[in-house]
Amino acid sequence: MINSANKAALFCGLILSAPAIQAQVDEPEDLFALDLGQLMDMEVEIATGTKKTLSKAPAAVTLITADDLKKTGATNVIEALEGVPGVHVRYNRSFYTPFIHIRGTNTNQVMLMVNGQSLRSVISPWPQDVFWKGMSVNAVERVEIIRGPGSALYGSQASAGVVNIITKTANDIEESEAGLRVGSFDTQSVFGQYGTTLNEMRAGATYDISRTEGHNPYIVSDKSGSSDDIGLGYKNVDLRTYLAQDSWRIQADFIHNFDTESGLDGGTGFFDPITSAETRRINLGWDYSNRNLISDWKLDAKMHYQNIYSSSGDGYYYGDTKQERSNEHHLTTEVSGLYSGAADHEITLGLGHKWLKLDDVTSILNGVENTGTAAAFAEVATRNENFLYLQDVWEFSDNLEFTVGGRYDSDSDFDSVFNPRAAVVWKSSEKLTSKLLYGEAFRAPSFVELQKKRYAVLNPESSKTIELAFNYVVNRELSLSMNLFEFDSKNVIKFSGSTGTYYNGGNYGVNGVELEAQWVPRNDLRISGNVTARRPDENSERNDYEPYKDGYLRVDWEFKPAWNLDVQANWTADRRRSSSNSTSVTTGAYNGLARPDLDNNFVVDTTVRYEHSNQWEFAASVKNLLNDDARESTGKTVLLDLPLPERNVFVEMRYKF
Amino acid sequence: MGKWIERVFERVAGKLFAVLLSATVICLPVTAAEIPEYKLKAAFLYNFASFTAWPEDSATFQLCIFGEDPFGSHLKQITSRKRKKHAIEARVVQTIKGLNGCQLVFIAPSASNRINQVQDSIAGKPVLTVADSSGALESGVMVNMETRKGRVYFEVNLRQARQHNLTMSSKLLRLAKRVVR
Repeated sequence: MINSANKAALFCGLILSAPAIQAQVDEPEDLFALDLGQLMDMEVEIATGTKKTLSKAPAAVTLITADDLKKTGATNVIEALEGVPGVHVRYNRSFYTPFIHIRGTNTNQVMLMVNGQSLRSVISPWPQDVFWKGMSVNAVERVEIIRGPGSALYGSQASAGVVNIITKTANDIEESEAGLRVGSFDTQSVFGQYGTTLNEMRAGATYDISRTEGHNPYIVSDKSGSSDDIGLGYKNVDLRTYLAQDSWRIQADFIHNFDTESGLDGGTGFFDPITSAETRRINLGWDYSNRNLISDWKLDAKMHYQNIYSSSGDGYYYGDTKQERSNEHHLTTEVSGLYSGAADHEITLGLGHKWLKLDDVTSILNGVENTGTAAAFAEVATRNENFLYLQDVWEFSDNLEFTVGGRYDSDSDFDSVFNPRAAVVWKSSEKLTSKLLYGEAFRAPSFVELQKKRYAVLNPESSKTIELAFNYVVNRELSLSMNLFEFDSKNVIKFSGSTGTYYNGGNYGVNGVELEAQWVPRNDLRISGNVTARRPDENSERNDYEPYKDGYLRVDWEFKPAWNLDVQANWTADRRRSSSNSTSVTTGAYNGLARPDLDNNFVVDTTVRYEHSNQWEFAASVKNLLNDDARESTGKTVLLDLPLPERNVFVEMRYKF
Repeated sequence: MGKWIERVFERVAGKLFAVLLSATVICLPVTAAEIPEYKLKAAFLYNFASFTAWPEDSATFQLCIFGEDPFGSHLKQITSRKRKKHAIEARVVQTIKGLNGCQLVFIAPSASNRINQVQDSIAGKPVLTVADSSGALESGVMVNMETRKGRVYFEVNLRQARQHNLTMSSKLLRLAKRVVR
C-alpha cells in the first residue's frame, strides 16, 4: 500500500529526479588544507553558473549572447527576440518596420536601447526611428531583455519592458575576423571585426555592409483593392569604432540605411512602388568608470550624442509624390555612483540631463516645398529633461534581498513624474528563488503628439506592474521558471484619424503567465523553451495585433566535435480581431469582406555551424523550413494581413586572423 | 506536415509545462550541506598543479580558464595561495591566442567543443590541460574531472602529459579513477 506521502515522493522522483535526503555533513573551513583523497569524499552541490546571478536579479531578465545569435543563425537582432518569453515581434504595414511588443502591450510601451542609449526619434512614439530595419548581429556582444517596468532606472518608455543591445567594445574584440553571408531574396553581407592594442590603448571596430531585395510578399488587396507583390528591399552600412584605456572608453558609430522600400504607404495603405527612404545615424560616446577614485564608490560618467537624419525620399501619397525629411540631435550627460561602504547595502545614485532638438523638418509635395506649420508633419522644437534616480539593494540575509528605488524626471514639456519600484528576492534554498516585484513607469509624448494634441493638456502615459516569479533549479540538467504578471496602464496616448490629433485615451490592462524551461541532459545537448499565455482586458483599448498565446522551443546538438545543429520553432497562436477590425475597408470587390481571425504561425528554423579550425567557420541555415504561411496582423485596409518570409536559405563563412 | 507538428506542439507543450510546474511546487527542495561544485573543483585544480612537475618553474605560475569562467569568486581561493613558493596568477581567456604563456589551462564546459583547438595551440609545450567534460580524456586532455553520485573524481591521460614533458606525482596517479598510459 502506497500512502500519499510516498506517492508524492515517487512523483517527484519520477518527474524531477529529486535527490534523496542527504546526511548533514559540515563543510570544512578550508578545502585547500585537505588531502586530495579527502577532497574526493566531499559531497558536491549542483552548480547553476551564471544563471544564478540572473535568477537573483530583481526583475525577469533574459540574456541572448553572441553565441546564441551564431548558433540560431540570426542575421538580425530582431529574429532572436521572437524566442524571448513574452516578446512578440510584428511588422508595420509600411516598410515592414519591426515592432517589438512585450507582454501583449503596445510597442510604444517598450524601451529599445543600444549601449544604454534609446533608439527613439523625437518625432514618433515608437521605440525606434521610423525607417528602422533592425540591427545586424555582427556588432552585438549580447542582448538583455527585461520584461517588466524599467522607468525607475531608465526613464520614459520602459513600461512593459526594456531591450538593451550591447555591442562588442574594444575589450571584447580579441581576435580579428572577416565574414561573408549570402542567401535568399538576393541578400548579401560582408562583415567583420578588428581589434588591436596601440601602446596601452585597446582599439576595435566592427563593420557590416548588407543589401537585400526583401521577401516581397504578395498582398491580396491594398487600400485600392489591387493585388500585387510589394518591394521591401534595403541597403545598410553599419560601422562602429572604439578606443579604450584604463577607466575610459570612446566610441564613434556611423549607421546608414538607404534605398529602403516601403511596400505599402504608411498613411494610406496604397501600394507604393516609388518610395526610397533613408536614415543616417551618427553616435559619439564617451564613457568613464573608476572604482579607485573615492573609496567605497564606483563612479560612472557618460556623455552620448546622437544625430538622426531621415528622409522618405519621393514617396507616393494619394496620387501625389511627397517627401518628408527631418534632422534631430540628442545629447545625454549622466553621472552615477555605486556605493558599497554600508554593510549589506548597495546604493546607486545617479543624475543626468537630456537635450533633444529637432532642427529641420522639410515637407515637399509634388516637388514644391510645403511651408507653414499646418502643412508640415512636425515643427522644429527643443526639449530638456533632468533626471535623478536612487536605488538601494539591501541584502537582509544570505537568502533575502530587498530592492527599493525610484526616478524623478523633470521635463520642459510636461509635469514632472516620479516612478518607484520595489522588489523582494527570497532564495529559500539553493534551488528555489522567489520574487515579488512592483514598478511604475511612464511614456513621454513625442514632439509630434504634443504639437498635434487634441485638448489643452496631453499627459504622459503611465503604468503599474506587479509580478510574482519563481526560479527552480531542479538539478544540474533541468531548470524551470514561472512568472505571473499584471500590467495596468492609463492615459494611453491615442490618435484620432478624423481630426489628425492625439489625446489621452482610456485605460487598459493585461495579465498573464510565462513559463520557461531549460534542460541540458548531456554536454552536447541543450533544449530550452517557453510558453506564454495572456489575458488582456476585453475593451476597446485591447491591442488587436497581439496573440493570446505563444511558444518557443530550441534544441542545440553538438553531434560531432566542432559541429552544432540548432533547430528552433516559434509558435504564435490565438489572435482575435476586435469587431472594428474584422471587416475590410478598401475600394472594389474586396470591400466589406469579413476578415477571419489569423491562423497560427508555426515557423521552424534550422542552422548547422562548423568550426573547421582556428581560422575557418562555416554555417548554413534554412529558415521557415516547413514553409508555413505565417502572417502578422495589420489594419483593415489590408485584407489578408502581412505575409512573413517563405522558406529561405542562408550560408555564411568567417575567417579569423 | 507543418500543421501536424503544430497540433502536436499545441497539445503537448501546455501539458508538459503544467506537469513540470506542479512538480516544482509540490516537490519543495531538500537542502543538504553540500559544497558548491566549483569551490570543490578549485581545490582539485590547485592539487593538480601541486602534484605535477614542470620542466622549469617561472616567477609566477600562470593558470588560465578557457571559456566562460565557472569558478567566479572561488578562483581567489587559488590565487591567494602559492605553488612551490611561487605566486599563482589566474586569468580568464576567450581566445586561442590568449593561451600564450599559460602553464595550466582549465577548459571550461562552455569551451569543451574547442578542446582540439587548445590541443593544437599547445603542441610540444609544457602545458597541463584540465577539463570537466565527459570524453575529454579521449580528446587528449590530461586531467578530467567528473561528478558521479555527488562526488568529484578524476582521470589522467599520462601519455599526453609525458608528451608535453610534464611529470605527474605517483599520488595523483594512484588516486585517479583511470590512467591512460
